Amino acid sequence: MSAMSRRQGTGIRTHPIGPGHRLPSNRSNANWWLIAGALAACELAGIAAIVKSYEIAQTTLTSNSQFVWFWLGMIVSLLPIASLVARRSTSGAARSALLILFGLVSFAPKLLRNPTSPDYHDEFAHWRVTYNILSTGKLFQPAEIIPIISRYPGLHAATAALVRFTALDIWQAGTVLIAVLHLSLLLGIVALARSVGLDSRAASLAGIMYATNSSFIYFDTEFAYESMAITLLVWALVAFVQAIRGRHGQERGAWCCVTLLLCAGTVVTHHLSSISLTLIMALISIALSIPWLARREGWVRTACVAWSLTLVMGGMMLAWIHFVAPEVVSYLSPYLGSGLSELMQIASGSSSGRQLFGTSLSPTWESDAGLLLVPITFCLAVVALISMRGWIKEKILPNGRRSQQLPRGRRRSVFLAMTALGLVYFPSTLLILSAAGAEGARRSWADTWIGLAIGIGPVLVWLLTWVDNRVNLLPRIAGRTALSVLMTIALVGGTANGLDPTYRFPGPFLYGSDTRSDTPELDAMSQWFLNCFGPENHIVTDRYTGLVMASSGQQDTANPGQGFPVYDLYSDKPDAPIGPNYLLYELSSSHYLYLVVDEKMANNIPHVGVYFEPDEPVNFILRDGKSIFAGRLNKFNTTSWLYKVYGSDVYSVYRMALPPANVSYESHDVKFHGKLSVGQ
Amino acid sequence: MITSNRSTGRTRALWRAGWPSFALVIFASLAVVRVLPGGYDRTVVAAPIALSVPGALTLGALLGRRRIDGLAFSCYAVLLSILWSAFASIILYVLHVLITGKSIYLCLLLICTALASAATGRLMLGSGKLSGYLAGPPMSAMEPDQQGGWRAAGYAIAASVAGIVLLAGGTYAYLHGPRPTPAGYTWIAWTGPHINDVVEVGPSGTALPFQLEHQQSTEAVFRLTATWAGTGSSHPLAAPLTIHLGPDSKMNGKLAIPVPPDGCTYRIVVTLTQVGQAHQGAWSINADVRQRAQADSLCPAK
Repeated sequence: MSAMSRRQGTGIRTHPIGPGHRLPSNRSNANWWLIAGALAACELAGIAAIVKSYEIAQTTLTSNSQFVWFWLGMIVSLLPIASLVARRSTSGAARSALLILFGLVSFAPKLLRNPTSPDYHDEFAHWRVTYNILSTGKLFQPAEIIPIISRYPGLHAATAALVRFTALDIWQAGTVLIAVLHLSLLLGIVALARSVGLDSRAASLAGIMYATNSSFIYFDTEFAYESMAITLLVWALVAFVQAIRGRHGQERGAWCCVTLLLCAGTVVTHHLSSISLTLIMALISIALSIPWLARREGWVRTACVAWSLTLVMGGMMLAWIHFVAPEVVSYLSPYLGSGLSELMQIASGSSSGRQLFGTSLSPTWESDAGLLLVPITFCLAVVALISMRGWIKEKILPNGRRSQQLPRGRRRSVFLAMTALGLVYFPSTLLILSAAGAEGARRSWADTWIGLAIGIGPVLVWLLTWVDNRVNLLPRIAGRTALSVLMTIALVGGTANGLDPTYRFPGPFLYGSDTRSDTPELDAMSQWFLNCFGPENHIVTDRYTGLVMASSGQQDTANPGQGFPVYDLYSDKPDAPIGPNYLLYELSSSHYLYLVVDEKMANNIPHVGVYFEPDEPVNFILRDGKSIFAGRLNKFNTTSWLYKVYGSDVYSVYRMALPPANVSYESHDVKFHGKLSVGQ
Repeated sequence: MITSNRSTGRTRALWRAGWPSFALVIFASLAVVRVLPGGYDRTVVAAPIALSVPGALTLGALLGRRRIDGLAFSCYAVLLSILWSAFASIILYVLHVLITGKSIYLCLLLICTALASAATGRLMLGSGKLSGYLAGPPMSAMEPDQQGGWRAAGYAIAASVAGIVLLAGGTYAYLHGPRPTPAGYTWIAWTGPHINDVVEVGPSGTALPFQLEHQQSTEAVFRLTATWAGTGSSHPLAAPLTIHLGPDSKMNGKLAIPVPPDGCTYRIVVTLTQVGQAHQGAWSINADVRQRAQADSLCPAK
C-alpha cells in the first residue's frame, strides 16, 4: 500500500505530498517487452510520418496529404504514450520516463521544421542578438529586427555561453537549449500539478493536456526568449508552491531562494512572462489570504511568505523595466489597447472583426478542430468546477467523522488559484476576434493553460475511471475511443490555433511569409553584400529581405515607422522626387548607405499582409488587390544619388550617395566609347 | 561480503560529504575540455557539465541534505545552470569585463566555488541533523541503496536516450531525404573599389571591374552590353559581347572607359541579357563617371 492514500479515481491526494514513485506492478516481463516494442514501433512510425509530411510540404504550397501525414505521425507517436501514462497500473517511474519520451518526441515537429538554421521571424532576431554578444563581448547591443529583445538577454547570454563551452554554432547551441527547456516545461507542469496536490496520474495527464495548448508544439519551441521564459515561469511557480508549503523555516527559506533565482531569471529573459509570473503569484497569494480557502494553522504566515515573494518578484520586474527596458511599456501597450478597442467596436457592431483562419492554408478539418477546442475545454472546465464543489463539500464518513477531500489550507488555495487562472483562457479567446488582440491572446494561452490543465487533470482521471468501471466491453471501448478522439481534437485544434501552416510546414517560396521568403538567391545576395562591404552597414530594405540581411547577413536594417517612413522611398511615383526631404536628411545623418530592393514586391501581395511593418500605410495593397509598388521600383535606376552596385533576378542593391548633390548629366550625343572584356 | 559492504559504505559516505567538491572539480575541468578540438566530442563532454553543475551546486547550497525527487532535481539543476550562465554574463557586463570564453568560465568557476563552499558547509553543519531530512546529496533517487530510485533513474535515462535517438534519426532522415532542386539565379555586381560616389576618371581612363555569377543547372548564352546615358536616351558605350556561362559558373569582366568628354557626368550601365529564351532575363548595374579635376561648370548642359 502506498504511503499516500488516494481516493479512487479522483486524482486528488488527500495527504501531503511524498516522494510518490510507485514501483512497477507485477507485470510479466514478456508483457512489458511487448508494450515497449509496440511503443518503439509507434514512435518510429510516427517520426517517419512527420518526415514524410514535411517532404510532401516542400513541393506544394499546401496539400491535404501533408496535414494527414503530419497528424498521423503525431497521433501515432504521442497518443500511445498518453494512453500508457493514463493507465492506472503504470508505475510512477515508468510514467516519468514516458513523460520524458513525450517531451522529446513532441519537440520533433519543430526540430525537423528547420534543423540547420533559423526560419521563424523572431528566430532571426534572437540569432542576431546572440551573434552580437559573441562578436562584441557585450550585452544590450542594439537589436535590428526586434529592438526590445536586446534588453532581455537571458536566452542570448546563456546560448552564447554554451557556444563558448562547446564550440557548437549559435543555432545548434540554441537548439540544444530549447530542447532541454521544452522537456523541462512538460515536466514542470507535472511537478506543479503534483505540488498542488494531484497524484502522479492526474498530474501527468495535466502535463499532456498542457501539451495540446497552441504554443507547446511550435511557438514555445522556437529559438526565442518566450521559450525559455515559459519554462522558468513554470518552475518558479513550482518552487513558489514548495516555499509556501515548507514546513520548517529553513526549508521555506531555501525554497524562497530557489523561487527568487528563477524569478530573477524570468525577469532578465522576457517581459511578458515576468509580468505573467507576477500576476499568477499575486493570484495565488490572494487565494492564500482568503480565510474560506486557506484558514488553517499557520495560514497567515504562509500568506505573508507568498505576498513577500510576490512583492519581490514584482519589484524586480518593475526595476528591470524602469532601469533597463523602459521601452517595454510603449512596446506592449498598443497590443492590449488596440485589442480591447477593436473588441469594443466588434461588440458595438461598428466593426466585423477579424476572420478566423482567414488567410490560413490549413484544411477545413484542422480549422474546425481549432474552433471545437474552446467548447470542449469549456465543458471539461465546467465538470472540473462541479467536481471541485464536491471535493470541497464536507462528507460524513461511515465512522461518523467529517471529511473533505480538498480541506481548507494551502492546497485548496493554490488549486483554486490555478483553476481561476485556467478560466481566464475563455474570455481571452474573444480577443482572437480582433486583429491587434489576437497575438496577445495567443501569447496568454501558454500561461492560462497551466491552470486549465491542472484543473482538468483530475477530470480526465475521473472520466478514465468511469470508463474503466463499465462492466461491458463495448462501452469501455467506446469510452476509450471517445477520450482518444477528444485528445486528438485538442492536439490538432490547439496546434492549429497557434501558428499558421507557413510556420509549421516547410514549403516552396511564398512571397511575404516570414518563413518561406528565404531563397538561395537572397542568401547569395546577403553573403555577397557581407563579403563586399563587411558587417553592420546601415541599410534600408523590406521586412523579408531584412530578416536575412540582419541575421546571417550581419547588417543593421532600418526600423520603418511613421517617424521614419523609409517605405516612402519605394512608394513614391516615378515622376515625383523621392522623399520626403526630411527622410533623406535622416537617412544621411544616420549613415544609411545602402538600399536593397526586392522587385517581387511590385507584383505580389505579402502573405502576412505587410511589406515593411504592421503599422505601415494600409494603401500599399490597392483595392483591386494589387501592389502599390508596381511600376514604381525602376525609378531607382535613374535616380542621380543611387548607384546600382548589384543586380540579380529580383534583388537590386543601391549605394545611396546622400545628401543628394546637383549632378550635371551630359545632354548631347557625344563621342564616348569604352571597351568590355570578360575572362575567368 | 562484509568488506564489500564496508567499502560501499565508505564510498557512499565520501560521496555524501564531498560531492560539491567533486562537482566543482568537474566544472573546473571545463578548462581542459576547451582544449579539445571543436565538434560533437567536445559538446558531449562540455554541455552536460555546463548545463548541470552550477545548478546542482546551487541546490546543494540552498537545500543541503533535503531530498527532492530526482527528476525535479535534474530540471532545477539544468534551469539554474542556464540561469547562472546568463547571470554571469550580466555580472561581467556590469563590471565592464568583455564576455569571452575565458571570462565567462572564470566567472562561473568563482560562482561554483562559492556555491560548493556553501554546499559543503551545509553538509558538514547538518551532518547530525537527520530529523526531517535524509542523508545524502539532493539527487536522492540515484542513491545506490534505493532500488526504486535506481529503477526510476534507469527508466528516465532509457527514455531520454530513446527520445534523443528518435530526434537524431528523424533529423538525419529529413536532411538526407529527397529535396526539391533549389531555384537558380544569376547576378552581376561591381567589384574592385566601392562605388560610393561619382567615379572620377583620370587622363589615362579607368577600368571598372565586375563579376557575373550564373547559378543554374544548365548552360546559358548571354549578351553583355554597356551604355551611357545623360539626361536623354541611352547610347552604346562599348561593343556588346556574347558570352556562354556554364552551370554554376562565375566570370569576371571589365569595362574600360576613356576620359569622359565635356566635364559632364555620365551614367554608365552594364547589362547582361539572356538570349534564346522566351522570357529574356536582364541584369544590370550602373555608376556615374566624369572627368577628374574638371569643374562641373564646364559641362555644356549646365
